[in-house]
Amino acid sequence: MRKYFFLSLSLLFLFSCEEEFVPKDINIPPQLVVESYIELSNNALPVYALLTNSLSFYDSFSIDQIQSNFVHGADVQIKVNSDSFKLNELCLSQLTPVLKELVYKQLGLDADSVKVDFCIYVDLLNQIPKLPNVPYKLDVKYDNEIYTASTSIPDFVPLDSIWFEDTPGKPLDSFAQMFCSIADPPTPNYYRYFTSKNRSQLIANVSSVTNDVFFNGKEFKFTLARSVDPGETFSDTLGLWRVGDTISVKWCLIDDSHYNFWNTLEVSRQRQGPFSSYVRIDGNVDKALGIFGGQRCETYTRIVKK
Amino acid sequence: MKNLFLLFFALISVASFSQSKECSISGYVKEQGSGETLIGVNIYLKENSTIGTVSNSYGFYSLNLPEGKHELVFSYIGYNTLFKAVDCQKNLKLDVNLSSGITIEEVVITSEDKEKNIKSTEMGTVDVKIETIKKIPALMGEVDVMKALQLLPGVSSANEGSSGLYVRGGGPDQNLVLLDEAVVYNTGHLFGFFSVFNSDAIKNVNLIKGTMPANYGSRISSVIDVQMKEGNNESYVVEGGIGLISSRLTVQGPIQKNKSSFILSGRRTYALDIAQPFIDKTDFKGTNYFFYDFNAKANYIISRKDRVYLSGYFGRDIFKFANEDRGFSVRLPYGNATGTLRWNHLINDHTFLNVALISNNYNFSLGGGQEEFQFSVASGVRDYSLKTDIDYYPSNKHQVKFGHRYTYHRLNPNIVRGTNGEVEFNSGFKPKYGHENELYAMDEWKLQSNFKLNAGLRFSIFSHVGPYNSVIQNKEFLQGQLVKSYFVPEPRIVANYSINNFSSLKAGFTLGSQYIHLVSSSSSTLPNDIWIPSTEKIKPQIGYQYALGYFVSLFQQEIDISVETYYKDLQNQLDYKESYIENFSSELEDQFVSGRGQAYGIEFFIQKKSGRLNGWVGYTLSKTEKWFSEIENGRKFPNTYDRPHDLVIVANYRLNSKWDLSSSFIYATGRTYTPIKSIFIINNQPNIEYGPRNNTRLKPYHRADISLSYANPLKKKNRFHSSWVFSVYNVYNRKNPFFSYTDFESNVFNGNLKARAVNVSLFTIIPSVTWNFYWNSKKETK
Repeated sequence: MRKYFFLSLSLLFLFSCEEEFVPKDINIPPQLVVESYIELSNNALPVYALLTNSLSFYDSFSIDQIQSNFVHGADVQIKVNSDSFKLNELCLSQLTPVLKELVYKQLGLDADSVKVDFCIYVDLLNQIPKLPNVPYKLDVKYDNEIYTASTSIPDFVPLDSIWFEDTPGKPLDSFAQMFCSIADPPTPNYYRYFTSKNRSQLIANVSSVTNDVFFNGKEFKFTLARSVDPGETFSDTLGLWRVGDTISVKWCLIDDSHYNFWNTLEVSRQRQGPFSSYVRIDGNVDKALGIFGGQRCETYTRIVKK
Repeated sequence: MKNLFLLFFALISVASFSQSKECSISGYVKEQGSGETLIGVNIYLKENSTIGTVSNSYGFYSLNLPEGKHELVFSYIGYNTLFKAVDCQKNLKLDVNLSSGITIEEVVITSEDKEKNIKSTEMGTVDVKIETIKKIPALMGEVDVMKALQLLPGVSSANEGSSGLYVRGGGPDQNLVLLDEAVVYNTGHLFGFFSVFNSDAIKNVNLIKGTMPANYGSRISSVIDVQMKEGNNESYVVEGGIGLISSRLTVQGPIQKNKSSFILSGRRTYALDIAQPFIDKTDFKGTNYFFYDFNAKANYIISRKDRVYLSGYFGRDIFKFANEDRGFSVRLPYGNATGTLRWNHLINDHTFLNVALISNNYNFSLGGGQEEFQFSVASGVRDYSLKTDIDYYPSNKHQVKFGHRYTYHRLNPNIVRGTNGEVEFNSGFKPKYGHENELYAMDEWKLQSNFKLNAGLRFSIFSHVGPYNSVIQNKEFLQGQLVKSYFVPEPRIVANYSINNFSSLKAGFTLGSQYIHLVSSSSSTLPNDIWIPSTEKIKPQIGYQYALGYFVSLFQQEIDISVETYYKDLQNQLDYKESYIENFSSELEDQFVSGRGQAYGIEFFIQKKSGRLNGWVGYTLSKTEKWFSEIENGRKFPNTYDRPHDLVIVANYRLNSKWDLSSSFIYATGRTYTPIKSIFIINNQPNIEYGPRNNTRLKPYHRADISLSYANPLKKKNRFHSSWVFSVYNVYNRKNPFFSYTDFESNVFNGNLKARAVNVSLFTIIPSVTWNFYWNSKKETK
């Protein structure tokens, strides 16, 4: 709703001007950042955890600075039921080309442009079972500290159908809008989605999550916007699908803490206006920043046609 | 506690009747030429100025004098002082008319007469004459009552350009803003950049910053009491103005000469209306923004003892956004409506009765959609009140007021409705209802010639009633069923000790309660912020204020100096939980946390009231902070509007009979904000981790404004005259940060990460010009 306010305030910005400044460094030691997912799907990667440190605010960051930001030597364990699995540290430079390609794809990276030899902790043998509605626990031991988190993989709610129609308002010949329908179960459900076109990387949209508070337990038809490409600016075709493209939609069910994380993160990224207040990103890792999230996903591929 | 109230009332009564034989003089004080009643006129004996009174909010006064011959003085800044010889053998009725005559050389943002600063029991109280407000340089030439108040010590704004008030560390919801006794819930147009008060329709503005007398309640910070003009009852007057962004027109005159009158006043902006032909040629045809407001008032003098007033306000902001190509549209209207029906009755020469029926309504809505998807969001407040006030003047040592107010509240939370094809959704939230009863009595008691006491007691009772689904009591309450009630006794006391004729010491204590709350998640209040009542989960806000002041008048009362210090203890303060995000799936009361607050400071005020050069200097040194056990483990943090240093200089200089120069300068410590603690990478993108709340400040704020007014000298033969006001806002183009944002250019795995922080200044130098006109059917000076 606030975006409409900001839109109307454009009037006042006729008089506005901008000035760069360097914020005060408030000199707080770096925190551990965890990004780890357990995905149940047909083409899921093994469970992995990306461990980094938070950075101070500087004008620019060198490759060396970014490189040194990865956390090495941590003990990372995933517990499910009564079993415990250790994730092994693996750096990009240690991977075979095939594995590298898989990692690039999963992380949405362009293989040619990756310059940082980043490291992850991974279930190398893909031993961790992906089970719905079972609690998973993450333990990270690092630098004499233990960081913990838990998550689960919810039941799946499929997209019942996907189709394309004319763009709203004045139809655009070469673009279409996508419609989907689901039958939402009468329990709280949290959804997240990613899109890609022509077999490119799957990207989460700037607002990629929703809950079912307004359609709980109903059959629901909705439009699904194409994810905003990196660097894409506002235009009349933002969110629309180009006719003839082969597109993919990755549709996921996530649990509530996973939803809260992405919801607060996405609002935090967007909320930077004259009347906005900051939003703290609500992670689920104790003593650390970030997310340990379970998700149940399916990917649907279609050719856009009206 | 009821017994306490009766005891207090009995003490007043005993004290009132144990007086020597006196006669009384009573009547109305009006402005000559228009018949407007004058509020706050000082009336006293020439031979003994300690015997005196002040006309009340309806222009009525009653003064008890020793039997014999006296000379009465009627004194009011901006008007010629009137001397009246009276022979007081029996009770007299004396209506007087004061003629304006010295407005040209006096600044009237002051107490009503030159000695009042010293002798009254008011603390932190300022009467602002609309003529003074019109002289102060204004943003885009829009004369603004609320922004004029921000130039007083102890008062600040949320953000540059905002008309919201923060008084002595209190939030904007803690100000009781009244328009002809009706509560105004939203005081701003255009997201708070302009106030809802049209200066042409306003007669008087009274600000009480702290030690609130017992006749005011339901808010814990301040009172802004705005009275509309009644309408000229002697001749027809048309006045108005054309400015850069809006125009105004006011018509007033007698319905029946000297018996009844009316005033109609309207204002509308047109900045985007002018741009419509260009907008129509773009994809955004149908997009527009404007606001308007309309004031109307009529009064009828039934007899010398009875008169009735009917007044109302209606204002709306309308924002429309359309994108025809994408079939998308949004409409966002919001605004206030108030209505007041008052009956004034003289029970006898000592007793004045006011009964008022009041309604007020604030509505916000947002609606729109795209093809099959349509949605609407609505919130608002609706009150109905019945109010009775009695002014009782039993002797020249006592002025007693007592009364009662009942208010029925209906508060709409965010009610969200929508359709998406055949699926309908509704947030399902129900309005909340409450009954608020207030009972008060107070006495201004002259214990000795140099010692006065204003003591009062107010009781407030709030009952939250159903329908309501109680989680705590595990019960569904039906319509009208009592869910939870609160009762707060509120003692108020101010003492004035006059050291001599030129200086006095004052001390005060106030306890107040507040049952209707508004919490903003942004750095300023917005029209979509939601008012909610006290419920079983939300306790009433309680505010204690202690104040001490030293007041002195120098150079035959030409210069007033005051130093006031205060401490406020604020309980049951509300804020949003950490990581709060607007959502329509849970009740707002579940999103709050409750905590404490405190504010303290010292205010210096030096004012030169008259002469070709007049104006004031105000400086405030203050601190305001709050703490919540659920936010950062109870760490005390400064409020967003905490301004340790706040300096204001206002100066008016009359260049000659045609030209006036006015200027103002403001310096304030920069606003607080929550700094970036660190950046962390998720999904190959940087994100911000914020540090301690409000731990850093924007750079200091300062600005100078200037205005030059040109008006032909008034001549009796002219019915029509006009004036020009040329003003420049932010004359030296200071780039005061309005907000800051962070921008990233990143692809972490490619080794590319750049961050920049940017301050945005919204209001750079802004020139404006306004043309004002005035026409009177009678050939007479204004």
